[in-house]
Formats: sequence, C-alpha cells, structure tokens
Amino acid sequence: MSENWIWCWYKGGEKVKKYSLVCFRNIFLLCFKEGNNMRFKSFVLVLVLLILSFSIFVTVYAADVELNTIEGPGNVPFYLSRFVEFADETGIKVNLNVIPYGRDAGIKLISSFMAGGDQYDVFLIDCIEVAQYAGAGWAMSVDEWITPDLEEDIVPFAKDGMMFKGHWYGLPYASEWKSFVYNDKMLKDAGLVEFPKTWNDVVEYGQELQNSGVVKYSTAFSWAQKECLICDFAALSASFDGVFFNEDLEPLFNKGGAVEALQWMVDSINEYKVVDPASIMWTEDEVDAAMQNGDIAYQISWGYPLVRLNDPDRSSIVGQAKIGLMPSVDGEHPYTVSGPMGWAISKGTKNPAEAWEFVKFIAGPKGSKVAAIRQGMFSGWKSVLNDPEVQAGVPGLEDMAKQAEYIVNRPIVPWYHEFSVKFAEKLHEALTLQKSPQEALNEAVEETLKIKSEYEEATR
Amino acid sequence: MHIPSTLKANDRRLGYILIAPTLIILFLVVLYPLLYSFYISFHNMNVAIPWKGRIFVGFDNYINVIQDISWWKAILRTFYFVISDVLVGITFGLMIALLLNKKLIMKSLIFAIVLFPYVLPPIVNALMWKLIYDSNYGLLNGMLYQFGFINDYIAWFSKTNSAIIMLIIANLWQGTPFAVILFLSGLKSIPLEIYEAARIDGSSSWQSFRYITLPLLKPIIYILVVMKTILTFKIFDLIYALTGGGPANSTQVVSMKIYNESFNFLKFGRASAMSYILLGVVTCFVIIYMKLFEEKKESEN
Repeated sequence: MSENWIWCWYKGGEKVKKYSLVCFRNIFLLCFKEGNNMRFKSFVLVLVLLILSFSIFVTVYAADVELNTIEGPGNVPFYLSRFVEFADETGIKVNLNVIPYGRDAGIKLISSFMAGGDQYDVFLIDCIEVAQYAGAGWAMSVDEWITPDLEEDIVPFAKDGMMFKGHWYGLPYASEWKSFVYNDKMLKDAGLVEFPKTWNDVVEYGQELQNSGVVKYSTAFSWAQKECLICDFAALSASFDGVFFNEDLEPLFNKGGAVEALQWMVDSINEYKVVDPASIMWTEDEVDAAMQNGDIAYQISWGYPLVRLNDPDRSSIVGQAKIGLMPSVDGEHPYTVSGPMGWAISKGTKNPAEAWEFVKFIAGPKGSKVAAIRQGMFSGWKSVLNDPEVQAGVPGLEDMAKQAEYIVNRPIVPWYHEFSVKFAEKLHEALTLQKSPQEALNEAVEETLKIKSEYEEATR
Repeated sequence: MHIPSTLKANDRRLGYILIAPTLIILFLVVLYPLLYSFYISFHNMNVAIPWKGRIFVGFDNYINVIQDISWWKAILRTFYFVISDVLVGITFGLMIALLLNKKLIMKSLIFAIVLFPYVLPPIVNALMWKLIYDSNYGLLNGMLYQFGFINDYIAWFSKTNSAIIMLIIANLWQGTPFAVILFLSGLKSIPLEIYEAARIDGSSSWQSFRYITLPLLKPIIYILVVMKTILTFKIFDLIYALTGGGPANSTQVVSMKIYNESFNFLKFGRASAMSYILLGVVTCFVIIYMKLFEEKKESEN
C-alpha cells in the first residue's frame, strides 16, 4: 500500500476518480436505502474495503521514478547502503525484495516476466541464465550504452558471461571463478613441502595427510545433485582436457577427458578415499564450513576464499590457508570454472534509462571497485583487478589472478537449466556406483540431444 | 414476527455484496488456477519460449508422462514413502496415545513434548533434521558412535538406500503427533464400563485391546489412513530442503518431479498433466479406502 495513496488517488487519471466516485455513491445509497437495518455498519465495512482496494490500484500513479529488484538475504546490508548512495547521487530510489536463496528469485522473476516484466526493473543474472532470458525476450539488450572503454576494460570470460549472440545483456558484478585453496600448515604438519599440482598429487598427498592423522579426509567437493555438481564437473573436465560441446553444440562429454574426469571423481571417493563421501550431498556452503573448521586440507571455492578463511569470527584456520593454481591431469591445464553474474535490465521496465544508470552505478568499474573492497565481490574489470587499493584490500588476489588465464564457462545455451538438471542426475548415477562413468555420460548425451532437438523444434 | 419481504431481499442482497470479495478471491486463487491448469495440461506450453504461446496437443502430455519410466519410478518411490509413513506412523501414534491415556506423572508436560513436532513449520523441521543427520557433527552420528552402534560417522544422504529412510524418519517425527491426537480423543470416548465388563468376564489386557479398543478405533484408523496418504503423497518441503531429490534421484518423489518440470524446465503443460495424473492416483486410493471402510462397516452391522 503506498504511503501517498490519497495523493496518488488525487493525481490519478480521470477514469479512476470517476469510477471510484460512482462506486462510492452506489454503495452509499444501497446501505442507506429505506428499510435497511444494517446500513451504518455495512456502510463502514464496505468503505474500508473500498479504501483497501483502491490503495492497491493507485500505487501505480506515483510520480517519482522508483526501481524494483529482488535478491537473496546474503548481501542485503551492502545493497541497502549502495541503494542509498545511488539515491543520493541520482534521486532514483531502489526498492529491494528479499527472498531465500536458490532458484526462488528465478521463479519470481520468470513469473514477473510472464506478467509483462515491469515488476522488477533490474535483477542479478547468472551467466547460465543469460541465454534463456535473452532468448525468451525477458532481458533487455544494453548494447546502446556500451562504450569502447567498457569493452576494453572488461575481463574476457566476464564479457562472455554477459553476452548472447553478440549482444550485451548486462554488466558483470560477481565475476568469480573457483580457486584452489589449501591449508599450508596442514601440509607442513604432514611433511609435505608444496601444494598438489596434479590430480595424482591430490590423491598421494591426500593419503599422506590422512595416514599421518592430520585430517580424516583430505578434501571435499560440492557434488550434491544440483548446479554445484555441474560447476565442479566443468572445472575437473577442463583440467582433464575435456569439453562439453563443439561449435555446433554437439555433445562431446562422453569422450576423452570428460570421461576421465568423472572416473577420477568416482575413484576419489570409493577407491582412493581421499574425498569425503558426504560430498555427494554437499553444496558449496558445507564444503566451505568443512574448510573453515579445519576438517579438510584443501577445497575449490568461489569468490575470495581467504577473506572468509582469515575471518576469526568464521574460521578456525586463520592465516593458514593459501591459494594455488587448480590441479590438472598433467600440471599443464590448471583450468577452473567461472560463474560470472551481472546486473541486467528487464525488457518490460518502464524506466530503461534509469535502470541503466543503476546497473552502471553498481556493476560498472567504479561500483565494482566498491563491491570488491567492501564486500569481497570478484570484479570483471581489468582496471579494478589491477587497482593497488583493491589488491591491498583483498588477500591472495595476486595468486588468484594467475588463474584468470585458465578459465572455462559452462555451456551458454537457452536450454541450459533442463540440461543441467538431467546431467546432474546422470553424474550422480555414476558417483553412487549405479552406472559406470561411460554409461552415465552416454545416457547424458542422449538426454541432451533430446532436449536440444525439442527446443529447436519448438522454436522453429 | 412478520418480516417484510422487501427487507429480507435487501438483507440477502447485502449479504451477497459482503461475501462477494471472498468469493472473488476464492475464484481467482483457487477455482481459476484449477481450471486454467486443467486447460493447459492439454497444451504444449513452454514458458521459456513465450512467442510460441500455447499449442493444443490433446492428450499428448498425458501419454508422454505415462510412457516416461522416470515418472513411474517417482510414483513407486512415493508409494514406498506413503506405505512406510502410514503403517509406522499409525502404529506409533496408537502406542503413544495408549501410553498417554494412562495415569502418568507430569502427563501434561509429556503431552506437550509429544505434540511439539507437529507445531513446527515443515521447513524448520527439515533444517533441524539436516543438522541432526550431518555427517561430521550430527547428533545421530554422535549418539550411535558413543553407544558403539557404529564404528565411524555415516554420510546418511550419500547412499541411495539410506537417504529415503532418513526422510521417512524425519517425516514420521513430525506427522505422528497428529495420529496421537486423534487416537487419544478416540480412546477418551470409549466408555470405561465396557472395559470393566470385559474384566469381570475374565478378559486380559491384550484381549481388551484386541476385541474392544481396536474395533472401536477403526473409524479413526480409516480417517488417518486416508489423510496421511493424501498428505504424504504431496510431500515436498522436507525433500526439497534435505536432498533435492538426490542422491541419484533416489528420493525424487512425484511432487519433486512436478516441481522440476514446472520451475526448472518451465514446461507448464506437461507439469499440469502430471498434477492431474497424480490427482487421479490419489483419488483412486481414497475411493479404495472408502469402499473397504464401507464393506467393513456393512459386515460388522
């Protein structure tokens, strides 16, 4: 209910005023008609209902430009402070709807898109959603506002994450990848002089760590039957020199390095026993907690992990963790997976120019620098990553930046979500030993071809 | 007292006006979505391809679902869940109600503790059991390890055969108090004179239970069976919060499958068809139960 509803009704269109007055008159006459004993009470009740109903209808007539957005609870204090700064600078107010994590925001966004797309003007978009939202006409292309300076400054994988079919659909905000983090003190306690550089090292060092009693399991992964499993598989597969698709989107993940990667994942739990079996049900949060509690010696983690691991309020291994390049099959392919997210604009927004002002404010180079220093958000801008102030404020950034050359994105296809859910099912069948890795990936390829052809037929 | 007909007509008209907002809301929130979902179950409707709109496909969605092996696997898993939950839940509920029907010290406190799980929101229940089942710090692992039942902590949700059992236990913990309440009220309504007469005739406790208590509780048992079947068939919160359908779909029940189809794949037409097939299955169950109940009642009469 708008706080200015009376003013809004007054400023509202002629039809609103005329309709409301006619209704009011008719109800008044009905209630006070001769012989009606209930007239006063019923009049008051109906009047209250009328006021409530019109409060909803007239909120649209508010004169000031306000932008609406939706997000999870994780960064609310930071967002609110930035929204105040944005309002002070531009006079544009931003309203935040807070909901739980996960796909909940996506479901609400899609519902709003189906209803015209004007409920949320700006929103956080994941790289895996860009193709779907752009393909369905839900996200607005921002090509007209992209300057040569912005194109020059953006990190390549962050740009890939915000583009679909050659068009920009937002600016990068949290352009993160998964970094390999190891507990240096634990390695030294086990008599190891360096961190593992190959997957064989991971196994060998892991067994050494476990046999010497430093940890029960040397590592854990986020292999729950969710998107996190696809992220880890993408990283491992690339480090084994595997690929998801070719240029014609023909699936190749049942061949070569991808099969070896899945086999390693299965063996790491069941044969080598260096990965905590609980990884099969863990998401990133549980793995982070295990690392913070000193239960495991290494992990791969999003964002700036040392910010979290050196926080005494959250971590019991302060000062012990370091960043290294991702292990790979031969030490020469230390690839990891990226997960760039950005701020995008809804196609149905009534305030596109104002929405772009906000996106530029919060996700452009200046806004990204603020987010990096104050919130530990991984920037997608070269100028920010090279900024001395940012490097001084984020521990381990220099080591993490070395990983930037070896990054892969997940497939950018409009049918990604259906592919992701079904692919995770097949990977899990291999991880739980119901099928061999080759069988599971062969079936995954069949499912993928079915999804792809259904989509192509539907969009013909 | 004679009421003028004009006055009665006015009261009726006013009554309709006053309940009109409720009827409108009921129509918009309940009836319209129901009718619309039935309508789109006969259409190919992919929300991610909005420019195609809805394409009429007749019964294709229903046929595709029925031909989908993963759908029947989800149905079987749901049956397993339902049968376990109904049998064990009713048995435990009756046992606890029999205990609470006795004279106990601090009976009110015990009753409040027994009822406590029922008042928790389902998602809170799920998150609580997530902590209990934790593979490194969970209460369950800690207790079993301390008492020597296990040699090492177990990752309960990492195994396909144990994951669904853990979910059933979590659901039973919350659902059993409902059975306790109904059974307790049923036990309180049985006249004590019947038990006294049976004691005079020399019947034992077991005979009293078998020939007096159980038959008189049968209406409550049938109600519980029907209600728990319906409630467990549509279970979602617990599975969404704890396993998401994994590991390897071993806990993917029908409701999770419908959720994936609609909110992950955005295929509303197919998801609607699944919902109505599920409605048909549950309705069949209810009809079977009612028929069994009527036959029993006739034979007893």
